[in-house]
Amino acid sequence: MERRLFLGACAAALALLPSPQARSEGPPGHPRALLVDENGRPVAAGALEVNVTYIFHYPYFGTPCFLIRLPQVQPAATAATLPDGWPGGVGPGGRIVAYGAICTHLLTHPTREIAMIHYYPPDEPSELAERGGVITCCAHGSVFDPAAGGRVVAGPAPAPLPAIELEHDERTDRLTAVGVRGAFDYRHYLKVFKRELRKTYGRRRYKSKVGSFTELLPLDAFTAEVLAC
Amino acid sequence: MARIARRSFIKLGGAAAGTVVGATQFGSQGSGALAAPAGLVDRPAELPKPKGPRVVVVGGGWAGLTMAKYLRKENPDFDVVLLERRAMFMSCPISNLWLAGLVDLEFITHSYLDAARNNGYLFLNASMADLDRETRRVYTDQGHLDYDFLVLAPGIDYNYKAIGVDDIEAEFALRQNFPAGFMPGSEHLSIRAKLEDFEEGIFLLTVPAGNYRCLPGPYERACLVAHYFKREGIPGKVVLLDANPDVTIKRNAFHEAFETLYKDVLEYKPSFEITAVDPFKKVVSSDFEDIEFADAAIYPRVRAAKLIEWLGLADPKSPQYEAHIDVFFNNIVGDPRVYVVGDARPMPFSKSGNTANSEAKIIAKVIAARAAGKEPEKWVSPHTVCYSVVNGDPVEAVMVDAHYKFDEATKQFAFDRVKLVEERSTALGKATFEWAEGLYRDMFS
Repeated sequence: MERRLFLGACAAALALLPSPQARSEGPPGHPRALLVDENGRPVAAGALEVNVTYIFHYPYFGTPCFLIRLPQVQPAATAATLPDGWPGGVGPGGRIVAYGAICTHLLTHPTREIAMIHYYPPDEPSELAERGGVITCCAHGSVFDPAAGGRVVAGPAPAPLPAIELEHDERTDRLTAVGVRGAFDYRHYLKVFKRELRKTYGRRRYKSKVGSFTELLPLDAFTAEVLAC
Repeated sequence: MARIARRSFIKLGGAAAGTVVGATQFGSQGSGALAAPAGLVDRPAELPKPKGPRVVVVGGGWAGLTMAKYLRKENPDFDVVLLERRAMFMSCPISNLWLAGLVDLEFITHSYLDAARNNGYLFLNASMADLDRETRRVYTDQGHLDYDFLVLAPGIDYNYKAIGVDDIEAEFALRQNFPAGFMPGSEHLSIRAKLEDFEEGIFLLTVPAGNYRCLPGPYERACLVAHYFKREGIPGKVVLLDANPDVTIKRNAFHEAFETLYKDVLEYKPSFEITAVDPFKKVVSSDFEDIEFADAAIYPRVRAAKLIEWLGLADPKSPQYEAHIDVFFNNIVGDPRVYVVGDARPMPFSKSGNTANSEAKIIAKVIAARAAGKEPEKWVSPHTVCYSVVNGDPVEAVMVDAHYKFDEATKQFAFDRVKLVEERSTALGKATFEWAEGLYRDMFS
């Protein structure tokens, strides 16, 4: 039976929507989705653990994304090496970043059974990447830098991970996903994985855009196995 | 050397110089002479008219499929035709897992129609018969077609002479009765059936000398056949004869598996140079030893597909009859309209699926640049990523990830940036499937 991610979230979330002044216009076509926990309560940015891979779905129910509260923004990455238009991190210290969790090489992504692409903290390095603080994909060895706009640091991926634009409300400490920066062919992904995504997320739902909130949870609560490489 | 325009051998007496296509029947309406049918190759192939510069890709393997797709990505104006004689694709990578019953046939078989439909090119299910590089015409058993650019990706064939099999009767007996299992299709179906039917005795496998297709393949196969025998309680023994002095890749990993997992079921014999094979008596011989076997998959030396040699495109210095091409940009020397990619290449890169897939993407860029009147900037190394499953239960694998570099001093290629993970794990076992599925997605969706 497909797991429904939004159990009774509606009533709870409605009471906690941000006040009108905090809202801004996101890019057209993408939903503004408040990040909520499994009880439907808005996630507090300050409560996010550093160096943990979180997962949420955006802009479609079937398209997973990573959220990471990085330990620090690397000063070494110069503007010239950052992907165009990367908005940077948000939240306390500007350290919360989010990216599409679908490898730009050949579309490996986390499923309920297994995650072969995820973030490796600095003290738990990826063997393949020979370093931590990166997102590594175990399928063909692509490595991305979440502190530098998701750019490719190694491997065959032809493009950076698309950045998910987040808004942080300083007053309420809430986080909202508002857009996607960087080209990604969602239509192709949704077509190629139609069968699997339908089973996991629902026949029509997998390719529907999320509404005004989306659930955030730690990756190891979402998937049965996190593969390390 | 370009071929002269093809003469037709089917002109019958009295017929006009331009052959008439199907216009008359035998014993037709009273005219004395029969008009000659055009035959198979001397007629235009029945294809939609080219909608842009036409690139013909010969061979629907890992290189050809990737090339057909990425040519169109590089230049959507290219009109691409993929020529492949097989009606469906079967993957050689992962086929050892299928032999051992660890994946089903659907995992390793795919539709050329899907690949063509999803990537906007034409699939012509035909066999190449000839080539005229002066008129830029490819002849096939479904007629001829003209190209602006041609990519030959015909893969390999087997060289039985190199293991002392000079007799055509014996060679045919080997091809049919003890197929090598490195050109997927019936070969693999036969080997699977042999394993299922195996009673007892020696099941022989071999590792060739030279730059053979899929360096770890025979060792992986030995592991998985041994696993199969153990699992099914078959009192058989795998004997792996290796022409090389030691395991050619992932050496420690395979030795560890042979020792700890398959000690009583698998015998590894390195430095065994096969000098004779008797497929009738079922004996394989070196200069020092004869080995009788109950059944076998005999993998002789590899050569490029014969069409490379028969079209006059082989490098006379290549012991494997591989193509005489520019080693950086893959065009036939002196002909920037014709390219060779995949295992028919002479460079010492690993002959493997990931390598072919990455090479095809690189050369697609080269062709697109030249079609636009530009020269490619510099050589880009192909990427070899390769998983080998050494244990069937649980599924555990090891892997290698490597690039290549060109040494200006020695004028030779060498490995570069090699990552070797030789400790087998279930994690790598799982990654093996994702590696394969990602590449099938790349080629077919």
